[in-house]
Formats: sequence, C-alpha cells, structure tokens
Amino acid sequence: MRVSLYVVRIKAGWEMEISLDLGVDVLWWTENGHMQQYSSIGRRKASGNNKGYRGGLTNRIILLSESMPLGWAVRLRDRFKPSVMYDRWAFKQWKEYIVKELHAELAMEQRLGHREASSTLLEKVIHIQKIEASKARREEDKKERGGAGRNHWAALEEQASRLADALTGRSLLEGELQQLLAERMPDLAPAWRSALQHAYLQGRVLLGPGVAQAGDAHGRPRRLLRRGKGLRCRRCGSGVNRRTPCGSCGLSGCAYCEACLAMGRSRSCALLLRGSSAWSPRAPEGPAAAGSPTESMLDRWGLSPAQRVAASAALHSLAQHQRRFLLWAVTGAGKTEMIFPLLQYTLARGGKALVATPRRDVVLELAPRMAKAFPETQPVVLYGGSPHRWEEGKLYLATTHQLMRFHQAFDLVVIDELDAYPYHNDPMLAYAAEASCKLEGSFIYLSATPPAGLQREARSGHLPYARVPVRYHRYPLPVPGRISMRPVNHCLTKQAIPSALAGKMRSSLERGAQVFCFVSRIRHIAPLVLLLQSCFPDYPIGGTSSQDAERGSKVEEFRASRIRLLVTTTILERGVTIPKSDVYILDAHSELFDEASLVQMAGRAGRSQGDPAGKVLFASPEWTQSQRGAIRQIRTMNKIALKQGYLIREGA
Amino acid sequence: MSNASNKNVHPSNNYRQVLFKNGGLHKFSNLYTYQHPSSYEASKQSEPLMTKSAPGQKESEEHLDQQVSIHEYSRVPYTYIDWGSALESALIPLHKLLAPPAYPCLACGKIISDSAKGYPEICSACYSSIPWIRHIKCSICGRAAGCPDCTRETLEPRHFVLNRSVVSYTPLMRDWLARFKFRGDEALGGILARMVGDGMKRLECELRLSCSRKKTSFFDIVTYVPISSERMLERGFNQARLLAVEAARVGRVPLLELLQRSRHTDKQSSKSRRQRIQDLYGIFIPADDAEEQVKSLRVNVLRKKELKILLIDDVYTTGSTVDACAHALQELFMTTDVKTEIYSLTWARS
Repeated sequence: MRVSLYVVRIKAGWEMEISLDLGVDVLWWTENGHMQQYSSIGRRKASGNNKGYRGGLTNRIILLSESMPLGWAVRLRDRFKPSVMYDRWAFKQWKEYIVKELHAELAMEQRLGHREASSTLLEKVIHIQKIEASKARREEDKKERGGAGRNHWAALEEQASRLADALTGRSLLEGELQQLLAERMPDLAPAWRSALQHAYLQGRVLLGPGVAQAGDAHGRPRRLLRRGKGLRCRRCGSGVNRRTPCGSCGLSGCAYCEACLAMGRSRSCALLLRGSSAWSPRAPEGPAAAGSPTESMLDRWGLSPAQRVAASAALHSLAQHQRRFLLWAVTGAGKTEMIFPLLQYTLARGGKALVATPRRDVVLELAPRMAKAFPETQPVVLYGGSPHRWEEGKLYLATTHQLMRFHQAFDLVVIDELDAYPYHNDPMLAYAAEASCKLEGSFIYLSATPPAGLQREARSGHLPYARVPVRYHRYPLPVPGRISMRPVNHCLTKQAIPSALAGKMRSSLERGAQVFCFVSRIRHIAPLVLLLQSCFPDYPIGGTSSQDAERGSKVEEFRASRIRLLVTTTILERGVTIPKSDVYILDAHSELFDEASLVQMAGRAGRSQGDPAGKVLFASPEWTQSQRGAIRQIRTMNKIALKQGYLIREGA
Repeated sequence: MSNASNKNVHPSNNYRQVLFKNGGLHKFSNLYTYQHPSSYEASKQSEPLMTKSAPGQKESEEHLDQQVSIHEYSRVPYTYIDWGSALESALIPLHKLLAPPAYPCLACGKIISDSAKGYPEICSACYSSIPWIRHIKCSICGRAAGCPDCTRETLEPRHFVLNRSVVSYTPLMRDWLARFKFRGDEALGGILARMVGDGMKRLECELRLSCSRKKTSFFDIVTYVPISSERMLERGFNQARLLAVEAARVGRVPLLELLQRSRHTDKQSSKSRRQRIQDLYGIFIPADDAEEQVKSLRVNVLRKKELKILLIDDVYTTGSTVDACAHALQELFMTTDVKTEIYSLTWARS
C-alpha cells in the first residue's frame, strides 16, 4: 500500500505524519480545536478574527509525497524529531533529508534490481508541494454555510469514533479490517480510509507496517549481543528475510512474513492497525473489587479441597497484579473448574478475559461449559472459520493463533496446556500471547507437565505457582509399571506379541476396561491392529492417527465401547477422558515420547471415580531417562498429595 | 553450564550407591535395568545426600569434603537435578553447529531428509505426489483424460492452436495454488514456476518435431494473462507473470506484457462455464504500449513468416480465459500481415 507523507507546523514545532486520506488531514489541522496548536509561534494575534489566522496558514503543511510505500513513510515518520529548526528549510532541504534518511532502503532497492540511480528512483516518489490548506478550509466553510459541510465533518467524526471503538485492543491487517467492516459496520466500508485517518489523528488507532526493522519504536527491546538489525514481523514477532517485488507498493524488495501467512499476509507495505488501549476506560473498580478476593467467591464452583487451595492462590496472585502464575495440576485434576473463579473475578471488575487453548476441538468442547458457567456473559468463541470472528465481548475463548488479532486487549489471559503443540516451542505464539495481554494484565498458565524451563523458574521462586497434586476424585494417580519387550518393529516382523504383554492386555480386556495402546510411529498402527486382532479375536480393535480422517468417529466408538482396544499415537495423549481405561505404551523408550508425553499418556488411566486405579504399563527394551522421569513425577505428586492429606484413605 | 557444575552430583551415581548400600540386592547394574529413583525411602530425600567424587569430574573434587544438599527447599522437591536438560543445553548448540542444515518442506512442513533433483525445497514424498501430465489424451487442450469440450461441434472457432499443462488439477495441486495465489506464499511460487519451466522444455520438444526451427527457440514471444490493477494492489503480484518469467528464461524467449484487463471481474474460480465465457467477453485488450514493446525487440519478429506466441496462465479449466487472451493477441497483430499462432502453457489442467 502507498500513503501520503507530509509535515505540519504546530505549536511545538514541525511534525511528520502519514495519511491515508489527505483531505481529512487538511481539515483536521485547520479545525478550530487545533487552531490553538496550529496557528502559533511567531504569529501575532492580529485580531479575534478567525479568518486572519487562516489567511496565514498556506505554507504550514508541506506535502512531501503524495504516494509513497508505507514502509518508507512510516520509517521517516518514526525517525523524525519534532523541532522548530525546520522553519527555515526550503523544499530542497526536505528532499535532501528524505534521501539521507532512506539511504539504506534505496541501497536495498538498487541491489534488488533497480538499475536507476537512487535520485531517479525517488523522483517518482517525492513531489514536494505546499498544501493550500486555507483554500480547502475556505471551501469547506463555504459548504458549511450551505449546511452540508458541517454535517459531513460531524459524520466523519462519528464514524471515526465508532471505528476506533471497534478496533480497541485489536491488531489487524487491512484485509481483516475490511472483513470486520463488512460484517459489523457495512456503512463504513466505502469510506474506511477517511474514518481510519481521523481515528489515527486522534491517536486512537496506531498505523504501521506489518513488517519493520526490529528495534523500531514498536519492536522488541534490544538484547545484549543480539543485533537489533533485520526485519521483524510486528504481528507475530518472527524474523523476516524474504523480499519479493510487490505490485501494491511498487518496490522490488518488499518483505513479507512467512511465519504467519495463514492469518493473512503481513508485509512491509501492509497496513497493520492497532487499536490504542490507552483510550479504553480502565476497568471500573466495582463492588467486588473493593477488597481482596474473598473465599466466598470460590464457593459457587464446588471445588475439591485441593482445587480450592490452588484456585485461591491464583486469585490472590491476580489481585496483586502479578504478571504470571502457574497452575500445575495433575492430569484429571479438573483444571477448567479452577479457572472459573478467576474469570469471574476479572469479569466482576469489568475486565476482559481470554482463555486460549491449543486446539480447535478443545475450544468447541469448552464453549458450552463456559456458556453454562457464565450465563450473563456470552463467551466469544474464536478459531479459524469461527462465525463469531469479529464480535465484541468480555469473555473470549480462542485457539492460540487467534491471539495475533489482539493487541493489549485483556486483563487476564489463561493459557491452557502450555506445553502442548502448537504453543510449546513456538516463539510466534508466545509473542502473540504477550502482546494480547494488557501491560498491567495477568497470565495464568495451566499445565500438568510444565516445560523444564518453567519448572526451574517455579522452583527458584521467580514464577509464583500452585500445585494440585491430586485428581478431583482424590485417589492417587496410577503409577506406571514396566515390562521388558522387544521393539514393536521386531514384533511386527516376527508376527508375535510377547506373551507377557498379551497376558496383561487380556486381563485388562477381561476386567472390562477400555485399552489405550500407544505406539511411536504411525506406520506401526495398521499392522499392529491386525496382529492384535489375531491375538484377541473376541474383541473389536481399532487404530487411529493424525492422518486418519475418521479419527473423531473412532474416538467416539472407543468411548462407547464399540472399540475395546485402540492403537494410536501421541495425538490422543491429551484431552480424551474414557471412564474405565488402561494404558499400554509400547516402545516407551522412543525419543518421540518425552517425559511430558509419557505423563500425559499415563494420565489417560483411572480418571473416573468408579475406576480410579487404572493400569499403566511402559513396554520397552530400554529404560530411559524420560520413563524414569515420568514415573518420578507421578510418584512425587502422589507423595505430596498424601502428605497434604488430599487422598481418600483406603478403607476409611 | 555453571548451574550444572555447581551441583555436581550425578543422580544416577547416587542412586546406585544408595541402592547397593541398602543391601545390594540388585543383580543388574547395567543402565537398562529398572532402578527406580523412588526405590529408596522417602525419608532419605529430606536428608542431605553425601557426595562421592566421580572420577574425572574436576569440579566435584572441590566439594569432596563438603556436604552438598541437592535440594535447597524445605518442600519435597519435584525432580532432582535436571541433568538431562543441563546436558541438553550444553549439547544442543554443539549439535546445531555440526548438523547439516535442516529445512522444512515448503509443501508439507516436515524436515526434508531426501529431495528430488531440481526441487530442493520439497521432500521426496511431496515431489512424488505431484500429478505430472506425462501422456495426453486430447491433443488440443492437453488433458490427460478424454475431453468432450474440444470436440464439441457447436463450439466457436478457437483462437489458439493448442494448450499444454504441466500437472492435473487435483485437490493437492488446488491447495498448493491457493496457498501461492490467495495466501501469498511466494516461496511456493518458485516451485510452481520451475514446474512450468519443465513444462516449457517438454512443450518445445513436442513442437519441434513438426517444425523447421531446430536451432533457435520455437517461440518468438512469451506473454501471460494479466490481472486487474485492483487485484494487483490487493495481491501484490501476478501469479501468471511469475510462471512466465521462468518459462521465458528456460526457453530463452523475450517476455512481453502484451495484454491488459479492461475491467475488474470477480474470481473465475467461483463461476460456471457459461458465466465464465460471458464474463470474459471483451475483457482482455492489447496493452497500451504493446506495439512499442514488440518493435523494441532485438529481432524484428514482424518480418517473420509466422509469429509464434506462448501464453502462460496458472489453470486451464474451460479454456475461456486462454481463448479470450488469444483473441486479443490476434487482434493486436491483425494490422500487420504476419500470421500469428498462439500456443498456451498452463501450470494445471482441471
């Protein structure tokens, strides 16, 4: 996209601005409210006559370029230092200034194929001219006397404020803005540039490019030893190094971000707008906020003692405005119930809250539960292709990717399954999460198996945390047993299941449990299903993986006991709750099963009150660090639960 | 590293020592046997453990006589020292330094272990799933399956000689094109362009058999289907042009922009056959500077007996776009008395 660039003289000195619609700017700077700033220094107040002011305004706005690539214009704007010094500058100096400031960009253009000298390249871009602001004003005034102009300006102001309201806390590309307009305010769609420019001049919306030099005003802070050079996507924070010729801005080296392409293309000349959160009224201190959170807030949710202690710790951290808090709860502890009081607290104070989960199916599963828990605040549900995409609300439920569309919008961001794909190890999503939370807002992390870095932080006291060492039914977690077994590969070539494993599986099936059988490779699933079927001909056996289109229905069949033994991969390690189930992990030594995923898979067993002691078995030829770690984690949690008295005493 | 060296107690060493001290019942001592850390009593955990120096560990010698507590916390610790991660944090940078660069496949996102010749950006699995059109059934439109359209009698005369396509437009190819064209993944466009370059070679081989031009390139001009200026502002690039650049480079033929759109239309992909044909009527016109472009060529193509133009587009569905463009090109050279033949090469044939 190309925009206009101009300088304007106000009381404090000269200012450089970009414009999507110059007409709005001219009227803005000659508008009465800004006259104070605008008519100004070195100018005698001749009389109280308004026209006198306007007569002398002609050379106060200098248009530097009518149409310039957005990236360049923003770069010039951000580096411009307001000063009075420019009073003496003629057009020539302005031009020299631009050439000097854009030196690096021009050199890049030349390297990428423009044979022309930089001056001729700029010749097409820079047309310095005065803007006849007074003339435009006079015309406007004439219309105003006719009765039409005033209305026009008032209507624009009204549109701009509506637009700014809709954009508060958002971070959108131009294409997304147009989708939003089409859906929520179709009357604004044709004249969006004028309304947006007005909102920008008010300071309610920030305009910038999608990709910019790191270390610029809005980028990340520079770190030691990391050079701030290089381009960075301002939406997702990834480094950008692909430049292509662009028909939209006309440059031959317009950079675009490859990391967040799926959310629309962010590039050097793409307009990224951020609704300034400074304008949103601070959360009013409601009656609920008068004191620290009370215990009574926890009563409503029917929490178990362990859940209650943890939730109360999280609430206190929230009340103290701590930035981060980790809720470290074992699998099946009932994490969702624990976040309800936190959401309630935030909503009661008039804040905005968001729950981010890694996967779409979890969002869809959680949505009705949230709606039931908060009947008065309908949650806005966001995922790729969600019908609620542009709705406003107080409570949001979203996949982590959707966080990219927000900028400092939330008082509370809950990140579920912190260690799960795709959030884990994706700096882009971490950046998006960080950006979506207000500067004084809080994060709550939920995890059964926090990554090593967070565990270390928690133990060293940098990260406040609460542990829930016991499941909601207050029975200990099943501790994995172990048998030694040849690798699955070997079994498949021999076409034989080791008798030890077969015996255990048979006893599981005979006691009526659903059997999860985890393997490390997708290619093992089909042959293993055949082999197991020949071994247990009386039981229905199925297999599924990420490449299976019928995964959903197979899981449903498994849930309904139409499949008794399900061979699968880590795809089902989380989020699946089967009341009475046993877990077998074959090839547990595989490097694809790390400690966290072993703990998660083991966590599929014994989740219900009726059958709290499911069986878990690691079958592998080797005994690895991850297996050891997983068992250690589970035992430690049980030990803590015992010590703190959360466990139900057997026979009591 | 510093963190690791401070607490220089290797847990597995300790466990083993404790285990043996406790009775030495275990007959296995190799790494693979089950020696569970929690097999020593919980009460021991809160006591500081004595360290024994491990031979060869220099740092540990400093602490020989000291009692080192593994845990500084009063609560029961969750894990002992995380040696795995400490070791990893030391080894990962080293691994990264020594490992060959690993790039994810542009199409499927998996790390490439094996790639086909000429296409280093995609993995061999993705390469082998490309539905190349090797054998054609319809000699006019280049379809791999039988084609009722070209033999339809009611059809108006075609303005182009023939069309050839590189791949069949399967759902996978549709996905690739959508990612390139609509999502703007221009890196994928490089692969598509190279595929068109391959197609160009094959097309020239095929045409040369029936032609006197053996040495020089078969075509005189390569051009492409234009997009409207609105679409250009929105998308930032013309996908057909990117394909044409590569085709022109492979064939060593000058690339000219001979056509332009007279108005903006909706996307072709959302319309029926009849709509497409009606919609395209008169939409492509010769570019304003088309004649100057032709005149500025090094070889005066207008002196030739026949002028062969290659038109490039991304997808051939009904052929209406190609035909409309060919018609506009015919009109452009109508005034000259050169016989114009227009060939079409598209990336996909649906």
